[in-house]
Amino acid sequence: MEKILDKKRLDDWAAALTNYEVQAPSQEDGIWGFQPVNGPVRLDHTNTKQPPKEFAFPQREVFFTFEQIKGEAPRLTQVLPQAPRHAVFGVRPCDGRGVPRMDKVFNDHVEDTYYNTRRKNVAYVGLACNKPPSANCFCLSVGGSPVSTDGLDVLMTDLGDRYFVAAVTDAGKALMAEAAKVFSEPSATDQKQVKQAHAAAVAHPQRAVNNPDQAPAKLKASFKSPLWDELARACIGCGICTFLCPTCHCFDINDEVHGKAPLKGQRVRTWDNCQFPDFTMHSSGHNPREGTGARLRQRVGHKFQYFYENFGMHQCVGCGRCITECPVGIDIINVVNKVAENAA
Amino acid sequence: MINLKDVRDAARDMLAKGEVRAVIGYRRGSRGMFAEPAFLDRPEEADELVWDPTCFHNLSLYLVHDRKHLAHAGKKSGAPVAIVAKGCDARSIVVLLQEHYFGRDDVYIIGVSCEGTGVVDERKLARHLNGAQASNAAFDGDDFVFTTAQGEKRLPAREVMADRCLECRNPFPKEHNLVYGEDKTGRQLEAPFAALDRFEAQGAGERWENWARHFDRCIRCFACRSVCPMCYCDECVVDSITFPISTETTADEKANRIRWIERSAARSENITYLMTRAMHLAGRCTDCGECDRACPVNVPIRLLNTKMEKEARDQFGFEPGASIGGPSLVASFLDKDPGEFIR
Amino acid sequence: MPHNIYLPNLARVIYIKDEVPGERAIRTFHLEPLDGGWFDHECGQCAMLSVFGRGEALISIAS
Repeated sequence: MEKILDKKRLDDWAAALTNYEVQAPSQEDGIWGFQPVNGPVRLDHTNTKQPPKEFAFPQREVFFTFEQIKGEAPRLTQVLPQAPRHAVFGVRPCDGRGVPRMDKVFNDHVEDTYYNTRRKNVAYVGLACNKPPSANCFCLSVGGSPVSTDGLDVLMTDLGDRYFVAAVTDAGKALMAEAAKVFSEPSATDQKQVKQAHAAAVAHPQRAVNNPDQAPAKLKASFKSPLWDELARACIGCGICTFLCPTCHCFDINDEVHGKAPLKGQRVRTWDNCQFPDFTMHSSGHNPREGTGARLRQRVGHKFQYFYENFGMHQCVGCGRCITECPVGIDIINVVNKVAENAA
Repeated sequence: MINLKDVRDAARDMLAKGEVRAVIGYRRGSRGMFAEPAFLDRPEEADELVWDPTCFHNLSLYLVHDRKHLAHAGKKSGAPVAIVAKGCDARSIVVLLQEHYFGRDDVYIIGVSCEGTGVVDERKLARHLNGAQASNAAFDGDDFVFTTAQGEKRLPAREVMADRCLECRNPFPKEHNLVYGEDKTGRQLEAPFAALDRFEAQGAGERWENWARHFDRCIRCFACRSVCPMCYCDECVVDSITFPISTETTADEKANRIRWIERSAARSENITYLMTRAMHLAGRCTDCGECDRACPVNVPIRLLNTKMEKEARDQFGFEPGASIGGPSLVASFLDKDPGEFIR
Repeated sequence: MPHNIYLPNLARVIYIKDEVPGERAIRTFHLEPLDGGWFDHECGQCAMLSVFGRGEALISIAS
């Protein structure tokens, strides 16, 4: 399904989605983030500081509550997410490509009830990047594109005074069908213009990972390379690169106790992070990833080697957030290129 | 005006003579014009050093890293480590020296004066460049000059400088072994604590509304703590991720460790984290602004720290990092201190 | 609704046997499942044992 949406009617489409909680990028304190729509939708964002992964994988998820009277068996009550149906506007194609990668992680071998309960209620409405929203965009290096539809339900392309709106999935078609009146049929000119816009977007120069197809083998051959320590020498061990990543998914599970007699609390999942020193800390005191080099290798290896070995695709989608936001200039493009260049 | 060649020559010379183990400075990074921390071990690397308005990092953090590595490896320090330090960075080093984190002979301070300007605030700069990418940044009097694909872009430094630089009272690294650039102490463009005063001019309700929003936004990536040279504790009181475990740690110690805050990035926990950190930095924070800069979600952490700094100044006339032999805020008292209990 | 892998199996401690005394004591805990079932595992997997309000420990599985 391909339609034309006059920019003035974008708000009418959003308003027609009464069965959804509509989310779109808005700026607060200088930060672009997805917020419930409360006023006009303006898709003039660069990219959001945080990817839209929170809709299926929030930073905090309650698994169940527990209660125990001393001497008796604990009583558990499962807590399933009660999230509304979300229609998320303004998703960049790189972040869209993060979605199927997360789907794999949370459904390989075992199914994650919490992720899946949320995920099936989210529709991602993408916005093609007519020009790269960041200086550190590199989607083309990792099999993506500024006009990729992978993981999206709808892809919108800005054509000046109107959007070219293409449904990608049935969920996307349903989203468009909720407001059939606001759309019109694309003309031959519209079709031509969207092709031109997409061709120009793809032709826009980007930073690049050299020979990304060879990266998995090169990284595998470089496990013991001294370069890891060298490249991670400035690393401060914070969680920015992973917490802002559209495909990082590691988590910790803790019991949060709220009362002692009777014992009451919640078992809670929170994001965790391979760059924190305790991530691999053993109870014995041994830490197999002792230094920042080993931790950088884990992050980069997961994105460009291990995930590739498991699922046949890079886990990195090239959004560039970890590069832009690193306070000390650690740059995954540079790391992969340097390590690959020096591989045996 | 600092001549970069002088800094490089000095670094090369020190490394060649073995007077220092390493030189910590700045070099051009791989993402556009921005500088990044550089660790030079060999004299031939000295030409990598740069000095420009993107040298915003407080490198004294890496002196702390170095001590931790030495302690972990059970090594003695030997020759000192040389470090390029701006005024605020040098004051951080002074605090570390006051706290005996390392000795004066363990560090060789290559001071660089910020002269008439300071360093850039990346976010302010992005707004001014409006999407254009710069490949180089340079000091030029009261201006910064950026090289972009569209040509040279000259901006008044005060428009894109970090807030802390606008208020900086001491852009000259008083404590140094070697120093480059003129002493322009007293050149501050804004009154001390101007940003804090602006914030505090709001009513209590408005202030709380603002802080609640900021606290809610914190994702607890701990970048503010990780980037801070003063946050050197092996075990941070407010979270579990740094609990030091050794083969000697007993099961009881592990089980009975107090968990002051939960890992959930919730308002109550975030407040406890950020406020506790601010309290622990009172009299120690030299307003290098790294926490503010590193925060990916623009929590104005600097306001919390400058609030403590201002209190210390108003109550006790205390200036953090003023001199190595000087008193520390919480381990000293004066007869004229305002509190009755101290006498 | 598929099986929720995050819901734990409850068990009761039947008795505790002191194998080695002292600071680094080794004790064997004998457990009895409360809800009838017992968990499956694959070779190389480990299990997380937790006591609500107390803490948790990772244990390896021998079978």
